[in-house]
Amino acid sequence: MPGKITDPTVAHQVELIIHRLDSLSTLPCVATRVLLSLSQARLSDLAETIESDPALTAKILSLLSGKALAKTDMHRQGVSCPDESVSVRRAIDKLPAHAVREAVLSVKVYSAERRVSFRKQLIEHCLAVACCAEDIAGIVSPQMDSQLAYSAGLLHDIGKLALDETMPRSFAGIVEQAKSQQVSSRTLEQKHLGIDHTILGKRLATKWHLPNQIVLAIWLHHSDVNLISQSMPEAKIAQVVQLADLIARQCGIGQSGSFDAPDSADKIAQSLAINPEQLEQIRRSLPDKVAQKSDSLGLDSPVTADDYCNAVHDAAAQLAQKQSELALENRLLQTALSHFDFTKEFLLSIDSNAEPIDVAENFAVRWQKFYQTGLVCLYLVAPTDSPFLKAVVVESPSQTKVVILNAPADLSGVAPAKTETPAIPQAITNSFAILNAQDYAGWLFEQLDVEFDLSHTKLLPLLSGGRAIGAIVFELHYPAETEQFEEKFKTIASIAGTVLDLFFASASQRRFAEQFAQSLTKQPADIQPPPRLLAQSSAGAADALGALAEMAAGAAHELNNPLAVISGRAQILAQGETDLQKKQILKQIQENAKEISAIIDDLFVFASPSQSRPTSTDHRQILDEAIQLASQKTGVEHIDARIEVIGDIKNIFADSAQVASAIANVVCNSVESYADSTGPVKITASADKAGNFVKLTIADLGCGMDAETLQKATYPFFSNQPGGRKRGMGLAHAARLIQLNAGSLSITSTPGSGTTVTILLPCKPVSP
Amino acid sequence: MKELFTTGDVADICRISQQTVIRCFDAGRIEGFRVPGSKFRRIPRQKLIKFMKENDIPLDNIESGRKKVLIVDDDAEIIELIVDVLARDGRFETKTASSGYEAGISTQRFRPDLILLDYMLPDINGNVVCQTIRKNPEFESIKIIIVSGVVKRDEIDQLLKSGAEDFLKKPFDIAELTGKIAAVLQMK
Repeated sequence: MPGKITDPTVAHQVELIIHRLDSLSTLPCVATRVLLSLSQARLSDLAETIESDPALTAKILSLLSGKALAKTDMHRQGVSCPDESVSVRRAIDKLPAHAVREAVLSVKVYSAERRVSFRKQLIEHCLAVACCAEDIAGIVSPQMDSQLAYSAGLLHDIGKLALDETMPRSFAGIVEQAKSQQVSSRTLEQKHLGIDHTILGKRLATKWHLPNQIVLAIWLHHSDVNLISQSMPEAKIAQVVQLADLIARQCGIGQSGSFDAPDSADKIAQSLAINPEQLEQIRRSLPDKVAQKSDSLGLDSPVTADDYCNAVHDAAAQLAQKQSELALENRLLQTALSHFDFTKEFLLSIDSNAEPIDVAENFAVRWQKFYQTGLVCLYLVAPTDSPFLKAVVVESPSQTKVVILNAPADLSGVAPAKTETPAIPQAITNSFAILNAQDYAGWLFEQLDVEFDLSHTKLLPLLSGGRAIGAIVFELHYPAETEQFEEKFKTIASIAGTVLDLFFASASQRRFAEQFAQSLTKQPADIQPPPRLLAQSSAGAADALGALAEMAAGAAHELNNPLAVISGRAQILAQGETDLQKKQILKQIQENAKEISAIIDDLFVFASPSQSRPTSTDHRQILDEAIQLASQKTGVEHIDARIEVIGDIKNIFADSAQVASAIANVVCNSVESYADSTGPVKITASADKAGNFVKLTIADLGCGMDAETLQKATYPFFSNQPGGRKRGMGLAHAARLIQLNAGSLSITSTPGSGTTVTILLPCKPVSP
Repeated sequence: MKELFTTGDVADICRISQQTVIRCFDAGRIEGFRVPGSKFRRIPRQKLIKFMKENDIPLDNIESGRKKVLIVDDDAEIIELIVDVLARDGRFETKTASSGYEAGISTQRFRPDLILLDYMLPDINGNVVCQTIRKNPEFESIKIIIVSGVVKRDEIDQLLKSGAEDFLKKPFDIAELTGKIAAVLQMK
C-alpha cells in the first residue's frame, strides 16, 4: 500500500463500501452488558451503556430523527424530538421500550478477535473526547447543549470505526504507517483512499439521520478553527470537539489512530473563550471520568466471545419463554372467543315465535357441532307435573327428532319427586356438575331407540336462576378433560337454560291467555270439557267431537252395506216363498236389519247433529208440534196433555223443529211411565224473572225413577224399560237438542210418584 | 215395447251419432216419416230392425224394451243383490261398475237410461260423478238415483240439486227400489 497512487475510483469504492453500513458494531463486552441489562430490565444501566458506546448511541439517535420516526409507528404515537435538544437519555425516555430493545439488539457485534484491543482503545479515545467535549460545552457558553456535545464527541470518529470494520486490513495498514511516520491518519487516508474519515463519517451520519449538529462536528473536527468561527458560527460544536480531541490526545487516553503531535489547544480555546485554568481543570479531571465510563462499558473486563454467546443464549431462552407464554394466552383467548361466538350465534338464531322444544333442538344441534360430541339428547322438564317429558335427540345435524318420553315415575303412581331416579338427579337440580349419564339416566336410555356409548356419556343440567329446567346428555369422546371444560359447559348450559326458561314462560302465558279467552266466550254448542282438558288445548274438545263424527260416518257406511245385503236377500227369499211361516221369519230378518240401521242413524245424528236454525217461534206452536210428534211415536192417538201458561210469555228463540222433537221425546217418556200409557202429562210454560228465558215443565205422575236411573237418564242407549228397550235414545236426544239451542234440561223424579222435566229456552239470541 | 223411435233413440240403440241417423234418414237408407207439420223424423220399429239387419248392427238393444240401468257400488254383494232384484223384475237390463272411473267408462259405452250411484266410492265422491255426468250434454237424458248408507239431510238436498233425481237409503225395501226406478224413468 505505501507508494500506491490514489485512484479516484478507489475513493468511490470506499464510499460505496462504507455507505452500505447500517450501523457500527459494538464490542462483545458491551453487547454482553447490554443483554444483561435488558434481561434484568435494568434500564438505567442500559442507558449508561448505550451512551458510552458509539455504535449504540448512533443507533438510538438515528431513531429519533423525523424521517426515521415517520417511517415507524412512533410518529403516530406522538414521539417527536426537536432537532436541537438531543441526548441518549432523553431518547431512551421518549422511545417505547420495545423500539429501544429492537434497536439495541440489531447492532452487530465486533467479531475480529485479534483487533479487539485496538478497537477498545479507539473507543476509549472516543469516550475521552466525549467527556471532554461535554465539559467544554458546559464552560463555553450556556447555549451549547453539553449532552449534545458529549454525543458529538463520542461519534466524531465514526468514520474511523467504519473503516476499521469494513476494511480492517487497509485501515490497520494506515495506522501502522501513521505510527511509523508519525503522521495523522487523515493524511494517509487521503493519500491511499482518496477520502478521509471525516467525510466518511459525515456521509454515515447523514445516512443515519443523526442530528445536524453532530454531522457538523464529525465533518469539521479537523478543519481550520478560525475558518469555522468566522464563516460557520453554527459549527461551533466542531470547534468544541476539535478541542476535546486535542486534549484527549494530549492526555494520551486511548488511541486515535493518529500519531502526529497534537496542536496547541490554545488557539481554539481562545476562539471559544475558554481561559487556560478552565482548560487545565478539564484536562485534569478527564482521565477519571473516562475511567468511570469505560467501567460502565466493561472495556477492561475479560469478556470473551463465549460469554457473549452465553448471554445471547440466555436472552434467546427468555424470549422463547415469553413467546410460549404469549402463545398459551393466545390459545386461551381463542377458546374463549370461540365460546363467545357460539353463544352469539345461538342467541341470534333464536326465533321468538318458536316453541321451547324448537329452541332446545337448535341448541342441541349447535352443542353437538361445537363440542364435536356424538349423540346428544336434550330433555326438558316441563313446569307442570306432567308425566311426560319432551326431548330432542340429535344423531347428526340433519338427523334430529323430537320425542315424548315417560318421566321416570315409580310404578305405584306416587309423584316423581319421591322416586329414586328423578328426571333431574338430585345432585344437579340446583347446582352445576357433570355427571356420568349411565348412573342417572337409565330411564332415558331405555326409551330411546338410539344407542348411546354409555361409558363416555355425560349428563349435565341446564340451569336457570339456580333451578334445573332440563338436562343434556351427550357422548364425549375426547380423553377425559371434562374438568377443563367444566367452566365453559357451565356457562353455555346456563345460557341455554335461561333462554329455554324464558320460552316456557312465554308459552305458558300464551296458553293462559287462550284459556282465558275461551272461558269468556259462551259456546253452547261445546260439551263442557273437564278443566284438565282445557289446560291442554282449547281445540281439544272440538277435535274429539269431530273425530267421533268421522267415525260415525265411516261406521254407518260400513254397517249399512251388509245390512242392505241381509235385508235385500231376505226380501227376495220372502218374495219367492209360499210358506207363510217362513215368509214371516224372513220379514223379521228384514225388519231387524232396518232396526239396526236406525240405531246407527241415531248414533250418527247424535255425533253430528244438524245445525240448529233458530227462529223466533211462539211457544204454543212448538208445544202443539211436540205433542203431535209424541203421539206418533207412542202410537197413542190422543195424549192427555194439559197445558198451562203462566203470565205473559215471549216467543222462544230456537230451532222449532229440534225443540219440538226434544219435547216430544220427553212427553213420550212421560206417557210411557204410566202402566197403561194413558196418564196425564202436565205442561207448564212460564217466563223467568228477567224475561230472558222461557221455562217449560213437563210433569207426570207415573212410575218415576230412582236415583241411579235418574243419573243415567240422559245417557244414550240407556233405558230402564224391560224388554223392547226402544233404544233408550229419547232423553239423550232431547238433552242434546236443547243444549244445541242454548237451553238447559233438568230432571227431578221420585220413584212411584212421578217425574218432572224442566226445560229452559232463550227468548233472544244468546250473545256470542 | 216401443213402437216409434226418434232419431235420438235410433242413435242410442245403434250406437251411432244422431247426425248419421239424420243423413241416413234423408238419404232414404232408414225408412220412416216426418211428423206432419213439423221437421221431426220418426222411425217405426220394423223399419229400424230392417235398417239394423241391413247394416249388421247387433240387435240386442232393440230386442228388449228393457231399460238400461248402470249400477255403481264398490261392494260386490250389494251389486249382486241389486242385479238379482232387477233381473227378477224383468224390465231392466243391467251393467255394473265398482268405481267412479269405471262408472265413467261404462256410461260412455253402455249409455244407460238410469244410474244407481253409491255415494261413497273408493276413488271419488258420488257427488262429483253426478256433477260430471250432468255437465256432459251427451248424457243429458240419463237419470241418476243415489243409493247410500250414510248421508245427512243437508247432503241429500245438495245431491238433489246437483242433478240426482232421487235418493235411496240402505238397507232398502226392494219394492221401494224398483218403484223409484220406474217412477224416475216414467215407466208404466
